[in-house]
Amino acid sequence: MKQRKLVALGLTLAIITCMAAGCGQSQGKGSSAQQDDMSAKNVGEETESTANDGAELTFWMQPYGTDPAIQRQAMDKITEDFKESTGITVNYAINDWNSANQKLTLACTGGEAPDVADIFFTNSFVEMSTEEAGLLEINDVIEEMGGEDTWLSAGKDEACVDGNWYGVPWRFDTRVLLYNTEDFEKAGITKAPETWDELVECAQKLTETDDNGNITHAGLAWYSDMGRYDQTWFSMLAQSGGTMMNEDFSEFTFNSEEGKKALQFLADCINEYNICSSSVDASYDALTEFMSGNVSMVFGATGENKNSILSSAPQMEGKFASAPLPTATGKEKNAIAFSAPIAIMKTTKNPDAAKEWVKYFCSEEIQLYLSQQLSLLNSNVNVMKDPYFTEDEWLSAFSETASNSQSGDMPLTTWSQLDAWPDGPIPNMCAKVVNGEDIDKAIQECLDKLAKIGY
Amino acid sequence: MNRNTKKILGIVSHYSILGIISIFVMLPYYWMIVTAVKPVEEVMVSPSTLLPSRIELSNFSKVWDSIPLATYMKNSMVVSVTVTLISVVLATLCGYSISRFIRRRAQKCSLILMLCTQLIPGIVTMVSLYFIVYNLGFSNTYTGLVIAYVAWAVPFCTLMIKGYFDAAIPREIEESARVDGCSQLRTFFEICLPISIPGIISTAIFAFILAWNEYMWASILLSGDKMKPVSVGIYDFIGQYGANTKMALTMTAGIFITLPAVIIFGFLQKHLISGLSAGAVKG
Repeated sequence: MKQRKLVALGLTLAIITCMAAGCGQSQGKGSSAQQDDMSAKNVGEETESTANDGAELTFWMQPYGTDPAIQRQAMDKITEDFKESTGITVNYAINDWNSANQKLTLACTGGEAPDVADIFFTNSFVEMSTEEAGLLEINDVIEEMGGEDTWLSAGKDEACVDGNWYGVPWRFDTRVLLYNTEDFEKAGITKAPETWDELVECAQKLTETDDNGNITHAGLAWYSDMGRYDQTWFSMLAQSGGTMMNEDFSEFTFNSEEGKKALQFLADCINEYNICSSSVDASYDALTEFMSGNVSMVFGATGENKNSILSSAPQMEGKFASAPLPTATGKEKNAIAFSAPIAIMKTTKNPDAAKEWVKYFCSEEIQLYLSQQLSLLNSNVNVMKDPYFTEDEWLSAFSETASNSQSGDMPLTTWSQLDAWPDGPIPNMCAKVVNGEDIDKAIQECLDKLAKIGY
Repeated sequence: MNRNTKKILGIVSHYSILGIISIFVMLPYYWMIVTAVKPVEEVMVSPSTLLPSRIELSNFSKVWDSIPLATYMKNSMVVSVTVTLISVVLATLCGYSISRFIRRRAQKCSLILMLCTQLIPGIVTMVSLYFIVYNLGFSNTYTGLVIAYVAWAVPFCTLMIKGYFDAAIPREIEESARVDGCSQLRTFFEICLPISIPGIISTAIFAFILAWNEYMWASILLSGDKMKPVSVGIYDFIGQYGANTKMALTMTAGIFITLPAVIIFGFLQKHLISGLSAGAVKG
């Protein structure tokens, strides 16, 4: 009896052990982390004799474009071509946006890290980097690629920290005015508005209300809605000639006359002119309303919106267009711009191969190809000058705005706190002004909170 | 009001409440199916339509080309089945021990510790557990994910099955077996285990669904498509600003993803209900 008990117990333990071991074994083979480790060691040995030939790299990026299959096909092609010309294998992984920040944070603080990564919040990642982990300074790569003038200024702001470059700028994002050409025609509007006054006039012509004055068809909608007014205000600040901070990013300067004027215009569009049905309703989506014909103009549309519209609302084909956002007088900057770099991690066992990959991936040819495949704008000045951007009816507005924009995100390590939505000081200030609070008071409260958090 | 009227009113109110609750429960699933079969131009219309103007079935073939759904489902299946097997084996042994020897100090302590683990939000232990798994060399492997899920599933499964042992298996049966010369272990394997099948099945379903649906751990521990489970893979459709221009394909993928759970529930519903209810009430 006792023997049978022991056998039963032994079997149970054996089954559990086998299952765990089986998992480890089968997955150990597929583990890219372990494979990378192994291959990195092998490659490290080979590097001395045969340069980068045979090296293996991991590359993390986020999803872009409207179809995941297109990004995979594009990346397959690029990595295959790269392997053919250099002998270096690049294993790319597309990590979803929801977990990207956490994964990169762990990568910069000693967790599993790729050799090369598509990053954002560069200042924060540089700040949290340690001696062994984090972002590698790559001033030499920047020099080889033509120096800082190769990229638009927003690109430099995102990739350069304290004079040192930690990434090569690639994707770029700026905002334009999206409008319904049929609605314009019906209202007798012949051209897109170029000044704030023209914007209000156009929107008033396009807005329809019921007997009680409630908007049934909005002339204008903010792209970033749900009560998130800071993104819209950033563009308006540029359009009024104001800046968020001074040149060395040591002081906030939005408490200027231009800053106040921009806040006033934002509040007036919502409360005074009755041209947009903007609300704090979380289910309100400006693009969906535009595609459904409930909105005529969207303030702050992005480059990939064209494909989004055609993909979700094919009936809109030929019925919409883009234009640079109107400015206060027609002479100021049109919008804000964002950029993101490709960075090399300090933990890479093969920095030379990683640099080769970064240079190849960020080359003009590859960047133009990716822009076309993934509906992305680009930080590279020459890429944005390509006829693909300048001669395309939709993209030309972005090309024009790209060279007449200012940085949207400030290169501060605490920026994600300062501009945190919904309770960060800056979004909070915008919401207060829209809700009728005195502008000077709201600005002062905001500045106090910014100082308290620190920057 | 006569008795018949009262009876009819009772039935009507009973079914009305049942109907309302069913609508709430079924609405997301209905929305998922309707969106999957809507023509593309009707998917993002505002205000939304409850019924499609025509049935579009192409998404059911397109979704397999758009993302590697079969790989994702295989990954989820491997992880979920492994987690279920390990959790059920460990939880059954542990639950029985606690249920029958609760007066012993070790069992008492482990029960309290297991209750404590249920009070800690998953995110709190994420960083420490991540680095443990990473330093063991298990990041980006099924093993790492299985360890993380088992660590979360076993305490709850143990409490669940302990409740079942407490309530559904009278000690008198075991005592009779012991009187007849059966050892403690044999009593467990030959008497308790066979009559605990409903409790074990409901525990297994819980462990399976926990592993099948889990997102946070999988998204942090795994990179790339080869290992991704469906809970993470479906995010392939979501772009930079949370935008999803492939809503119909997302919903179609959602239908395929929920199918395993629906099938399991369909087959094991009877056991699940009896298992849960027996564990819920102390007899």
